[in-house]
Amino acid sequence: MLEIRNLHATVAGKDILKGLDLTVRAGEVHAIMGPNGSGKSTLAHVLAGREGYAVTQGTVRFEGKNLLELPPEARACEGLFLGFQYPVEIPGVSNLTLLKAALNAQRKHRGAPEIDATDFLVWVRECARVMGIDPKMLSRGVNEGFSGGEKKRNEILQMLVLQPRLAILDETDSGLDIDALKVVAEGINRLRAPQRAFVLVTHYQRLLDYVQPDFVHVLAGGRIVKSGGPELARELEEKGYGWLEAA
Amino acid sequence: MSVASYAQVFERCAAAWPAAQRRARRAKLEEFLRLGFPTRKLEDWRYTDLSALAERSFEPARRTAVALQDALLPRSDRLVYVNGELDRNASTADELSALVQTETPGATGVDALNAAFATPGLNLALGPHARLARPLHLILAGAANPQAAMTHQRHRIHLGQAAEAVLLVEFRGAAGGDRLVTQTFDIRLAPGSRLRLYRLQDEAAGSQLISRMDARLARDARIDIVCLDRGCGLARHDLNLELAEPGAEVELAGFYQPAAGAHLDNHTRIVHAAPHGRSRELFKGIVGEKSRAVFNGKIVVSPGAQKTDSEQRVANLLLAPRAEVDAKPELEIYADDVKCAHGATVGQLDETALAYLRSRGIADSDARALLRRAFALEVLDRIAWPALRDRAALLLGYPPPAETALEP
Amino acid sequence: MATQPEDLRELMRRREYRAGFVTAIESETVPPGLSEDVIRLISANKREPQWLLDFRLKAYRRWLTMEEPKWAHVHYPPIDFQAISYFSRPKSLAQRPKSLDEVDPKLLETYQKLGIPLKEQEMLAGVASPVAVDVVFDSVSVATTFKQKLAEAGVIFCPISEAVQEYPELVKKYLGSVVPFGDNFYAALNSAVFTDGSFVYVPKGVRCPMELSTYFRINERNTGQFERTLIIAEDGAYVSYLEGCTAPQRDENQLHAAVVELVALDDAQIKYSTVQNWYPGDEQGRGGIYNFVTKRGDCRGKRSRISWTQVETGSAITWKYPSCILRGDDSVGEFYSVAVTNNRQQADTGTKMIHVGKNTRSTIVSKGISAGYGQQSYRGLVRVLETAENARNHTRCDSLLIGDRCGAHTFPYTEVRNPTARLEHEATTSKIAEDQLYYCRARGISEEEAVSMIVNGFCKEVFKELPMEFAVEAGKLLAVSLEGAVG
Repeated sequence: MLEIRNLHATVAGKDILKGLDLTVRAGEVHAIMGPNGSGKSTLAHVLAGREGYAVTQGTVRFEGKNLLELPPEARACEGLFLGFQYPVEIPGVSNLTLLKAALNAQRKHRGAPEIDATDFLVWVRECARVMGIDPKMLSRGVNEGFSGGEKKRNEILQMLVLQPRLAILDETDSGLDIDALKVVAEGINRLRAPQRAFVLVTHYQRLLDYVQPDFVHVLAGGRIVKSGGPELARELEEKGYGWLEAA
Repeated sequence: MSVASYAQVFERCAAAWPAAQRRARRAKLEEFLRLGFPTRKLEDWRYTDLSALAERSFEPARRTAVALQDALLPRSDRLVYVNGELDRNASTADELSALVQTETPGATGVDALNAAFATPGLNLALGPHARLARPLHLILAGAANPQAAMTHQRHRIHLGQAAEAVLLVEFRGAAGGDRLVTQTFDIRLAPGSRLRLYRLQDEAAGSQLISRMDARLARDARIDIVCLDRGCGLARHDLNLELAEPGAEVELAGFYQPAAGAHLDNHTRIVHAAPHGRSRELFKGIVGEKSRAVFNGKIVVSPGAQKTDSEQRVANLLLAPRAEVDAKPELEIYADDVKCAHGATVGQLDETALAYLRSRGIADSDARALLRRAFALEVLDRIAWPALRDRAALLLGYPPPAETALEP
Repeated sequence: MATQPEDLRELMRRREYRAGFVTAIESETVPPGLSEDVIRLISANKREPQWLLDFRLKAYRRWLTMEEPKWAHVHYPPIDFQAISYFSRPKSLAQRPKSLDEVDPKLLETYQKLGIPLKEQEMLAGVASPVAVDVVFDSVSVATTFKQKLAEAGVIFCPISEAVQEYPELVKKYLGSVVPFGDNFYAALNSAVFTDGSFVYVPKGVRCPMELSTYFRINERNTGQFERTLIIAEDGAYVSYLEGCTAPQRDENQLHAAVVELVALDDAQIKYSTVQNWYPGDEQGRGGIYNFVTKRGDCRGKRSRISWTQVETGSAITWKYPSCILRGDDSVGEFYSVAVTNNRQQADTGTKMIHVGKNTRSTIVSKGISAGYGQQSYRGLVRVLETAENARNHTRCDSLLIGDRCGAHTFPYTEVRNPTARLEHEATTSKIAEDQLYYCRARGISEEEAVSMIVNGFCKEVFKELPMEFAVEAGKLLAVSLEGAVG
């Protein structure tokens, strides 16, 4: 589904990713862990197509397509979803407006007709119920005045509504209390399916207690320095990252 | 409108000027006679009417003795003018006095009048990396003359690359007499230079003061200004700051508290002409009975001045009837990648805070004084020269409270 | 994926003005030029009483002594007032049609094309929320719908020329009482040559049973439109009124100088909404309407309330300050504005709130959007007179910049002469944040649509003040006005 080969990327002239390789197949859940500043968020934004992130070498193929030549909205329409570490507030634009516009953009991309207004509302309300989000919040501005936890839950809500093929969740677990973390994990697990894949970018092992990954990778110095199964996450939790950097 | 009396005075003065100056001065006089005093029809003079000056007649002011003791600040140098004439005895830096001739951009009739009659003023030029050893205190004092008198001076402050100076410009006047005073300052800050400028105005009720300061900031230059106004019959200040090159920075604060019968007009104009400039402006005023305060602050972001970061705040307390506040904070923005905000308020002391203080046993009048003081201190506390800060606070009626006076 | 300036320019050209067609219709147009004779002709044409002709001539003589205002932040070549025709009407309207059946089908078709199906609209009477419409074509009113139904409620809604004939006492009493004939250069011109416009009278205690609306259309070449609207709400009355404006796409500029007067007596409320979409000119700044308008509401009565809501997307130049004189104690004035300037459009707009009575309150919300080479200024005056105890004002004005060649300016004037007044003014200028755009795009929404969504969000506070169906229209209009403006 996703094939990253020898990826080099710079941000503001600084080399952040230095030869990263990663293969994600349908149905898999990958966790990418690593110390602060190792390039985890850069990887997420390079995949989503943020401006200012320059790829200097390497390739990224998503479902056989060259992902790097697509603008961010086309990547999203192809089924790529980025859960933001810092979700953005958009005053005056309601969550419903954003979701409907996004859903219809993706349907249009597939050649499907616009969603029926009632079907849309029923669908969004159902997703909100799963995420424990008060339907009233759907009419409020996107993330406007939301707490940190509410913003993260709202990201997962968007993911549930949009049903992506590949979801990259950038530190979706940070800043959540344990109850909110369980809700977020429930949202992710609900979406797990043989045709869908996840990349969880995280600093802590905590989320992985609730969302069992198939693979765990350690990112340090802009490359994946170690890969393994779920046991690697526990090892990291116990020993920290120091032993890897020293290695 | 007739400004003929000024032409007559000019002819009488002309004989005393060297021939070389006479022509340039006459050109300025003619410009003044053509333009006259600004009228309220000009947008920039909408709230300040100088038309009455046209019909007046002022003789050139003569020096008389004035008391300066209360103005003296320790560990500083002084340049003192009384009625426009250098007072060598009171000055410690009289070598800085010179006749300054500079062109004023976008000149009004007042600027032309000033240039036509200009007498010597401060001429401060610092070379690269030079640093003024001690703060310089420029005292522009007015004293009573037997008849209505006028003073016009021009000053120049040029700081070389990375030079630094602290300057206090003080307009003061002894009571009595009827004066027209115009003061023009040309300030240039070379790359990386830094000027701390204080402007203190405590003129007498009979004075009409029109001051203008134009400052141009080169790359990474910085100016910190605190303006304080009290007193005066009519005072109009124009402060024009141009951030001409990238990275220049302006910190500007002002506090005005016109006395009864006074009309105070502060016009500021900050032009961001280059990218990455930063400006902060805060003006506060307390306006009491029969006085009027005008504030007009304009921020201009020129095309191409991207990444400008500018904020302006104006707050007025209108505390008595028959008083007026006219505030006009303006933004003129021609670049898109900028962060600009302004806010203006007119109001009274916070009733909840008053009630709270009174519930703690503080008398109403004391509570009001405390709140006025707190309001003023936001500006006064920006004075980084302790002796000046204390003097200014005292002058404006906000002496340090007794409990802090016990501190060493 | 940054859109380069070249792409931006390319995108800008795609902007369409959808009301830009011309109706091929025979018109009687007075030759260009202005003189007392032309004014007499207009007046005679309308069979006006002597007092009104006198009013016009007085205004004209005053106008001759006045100068065009120069203080606004707009630039345009001098207007030749002798090159404008001051009266034009379709031949078929020489006699005003008695009913819609008598109206020239070409005119009906014009309004159908503009989205105002007059006939169907009348037939739909009784269906949910009907709107009574008066349509003004060049210098004359074409038709007014729902007059009968309104008359039953005691509401008068008709062209002002008809009101002069039918209700001369009312017109005489109120005309020029809010905007005097010599108020300003354009108001004086309007007072001299005004042709048609709407007249609304809502009697004591009546809540007008439906939205009233006037649709202004300039069609003929080289004509100006000088409409005059007068709305009176007696004690306790309520009326909501909306005007819409369009004009054909032409290379030369046309002048629109209207005067609108509102009078609200005790406890009365007037809600006046405008969706202004005059032809804005092309991307080079050729053509477009000069929209120089004086709008003023007089809160004459106690507890009266006047709200101005405007969505200004059209015109080459807009010069307009809908104002409130808060004379009655406890009266309330409101101004909600969205203005868009794209391409070479210029707008200097805002409001005046004059606090005279005690406990008067005013609210100003202004949202300006500048794109292309557009230049926009908010100019607002809040004046608190000595008599206005406890006056309150809150002003918020925000500007959004799209592209680096446009400008957004804010000129708020505050004049306070009463020590119990509390005024607050806040203003911000920003561009659409990159991270907001990226966030939307990462959800699959195209950049243009994302901008449209963000802009609509920016304007929400104002749109919610518009009558429901017009709020939707306004949103769409905004999207069209900004089409392609985004980089």
